[in-house]
Amino acid sequence: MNSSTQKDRLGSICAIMTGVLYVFIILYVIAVPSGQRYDPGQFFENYAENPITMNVLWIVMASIAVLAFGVIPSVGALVQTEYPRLVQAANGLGLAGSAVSAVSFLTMLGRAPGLAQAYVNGDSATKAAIAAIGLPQLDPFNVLVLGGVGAWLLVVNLLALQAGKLPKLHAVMGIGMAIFLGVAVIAAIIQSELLDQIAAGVGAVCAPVWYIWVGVRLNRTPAG
Amino acid sequence: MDHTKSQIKKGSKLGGVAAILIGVLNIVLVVYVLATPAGSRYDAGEFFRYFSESPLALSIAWIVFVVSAILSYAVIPIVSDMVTDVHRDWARAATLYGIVGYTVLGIWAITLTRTTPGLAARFVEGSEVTRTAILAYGLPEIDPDGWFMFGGTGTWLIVMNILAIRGQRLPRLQGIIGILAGICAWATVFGALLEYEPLNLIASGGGAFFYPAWFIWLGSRLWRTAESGKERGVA
Repeated sequence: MNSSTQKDRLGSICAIMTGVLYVFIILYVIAVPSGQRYDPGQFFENYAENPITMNVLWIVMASIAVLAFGVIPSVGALVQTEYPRLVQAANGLGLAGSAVSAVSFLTMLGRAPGLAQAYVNGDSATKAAIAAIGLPQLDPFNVLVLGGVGAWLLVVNLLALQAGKLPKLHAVMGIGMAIFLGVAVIAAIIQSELLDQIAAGVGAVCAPVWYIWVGVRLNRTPAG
Repeated sequence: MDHTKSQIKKGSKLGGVAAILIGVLNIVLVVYVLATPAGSRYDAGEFFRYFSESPLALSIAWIVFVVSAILSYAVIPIVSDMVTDVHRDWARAATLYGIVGYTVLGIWAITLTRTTPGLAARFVEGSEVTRTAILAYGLPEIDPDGWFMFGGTGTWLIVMNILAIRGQRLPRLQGIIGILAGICAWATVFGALLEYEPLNLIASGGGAFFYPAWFIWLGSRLWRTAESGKERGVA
């Protein structure tokens, strides 16, 4: 098959799966008590009691990040305009963010059970040591995890809007999502639960629609 | 010779040397399994005690992982060039899995090389409280089950070799060896996840043969292609 005219099936499937998986992200806001996100001690106690919610969520997050390796280059090719270097740089940021995200969630998935058990069974010195270090997050403020992906979304949607490569509503939705990903980073830095809830709420609504829509479009449009 | 042809020729030579070196270094990695008692791979306390007594074999293995990861950046794009017109999307996605997988492997190994000696010494010499705290936190590993380190690189090997067989870019036998190497990499993930030592041994044994064979074979072909000035990889 000539690769320059083939439809982007892999990118399309990955984008649609990403959209479907994003629906699960809403679980995070609904299922996780708010204090748990910022207090490691409370997190470990809750996790030791019921690890399934967080494990499922981390697997979903890691899967979304892995699927991004199929989505990001395809969307980059779809919106390719007269700014190929900008798209390349944005793709790089998006891929770096996704890679850090996947590794971070897989690390937490692998290490949280042992840490939670050690915390619950430990004496006060052990508890203090574990709580002080917290979860082994690679990017605790999500600067790359959310900010990198947000920067990619912002660039590709702005270029798509400018060149008419995506419907206006679709591109505006993508830009909005990118802005709220930035808001989520700020929420993590200043530990603002309200801001985090707003960003998560907007993301939970926009992300499934944007990804499924782009998936359908990739399946229709031959991408370079 | 135009610029593109020249780039391909240079890239093939660089990729060839890097692939041969990865292959040779992978033979050394068999040390990792042979030199590490099975218990110490699953028990952090035993691991720290073992490491403080004999740190050399593991340190060499980690350095080999780091060097292999760095060398892979010269090999992965060449393999991608070789099969990209067989199926662009799969080649592109698998290339990313390969690069990220090797990057995680490199960072994992650098972190362990830097932090384990201190942790092991503190564990052996420390009080009960210190030991409990160190054990509770364990090794400072990223991707502890190896989903990216071995799964990512395994996926890269499996996808690229399937594409290479489909597009007749590599001899069928080499493609099959590459797929088996990828399967061994995935077996390492499940060996660690299930803490099932026979699977780990099969994965390591198979990997110790298939990895070097595939990389050295690839490297020699890339080298010969560059030498003879042929365009586009090893077809």
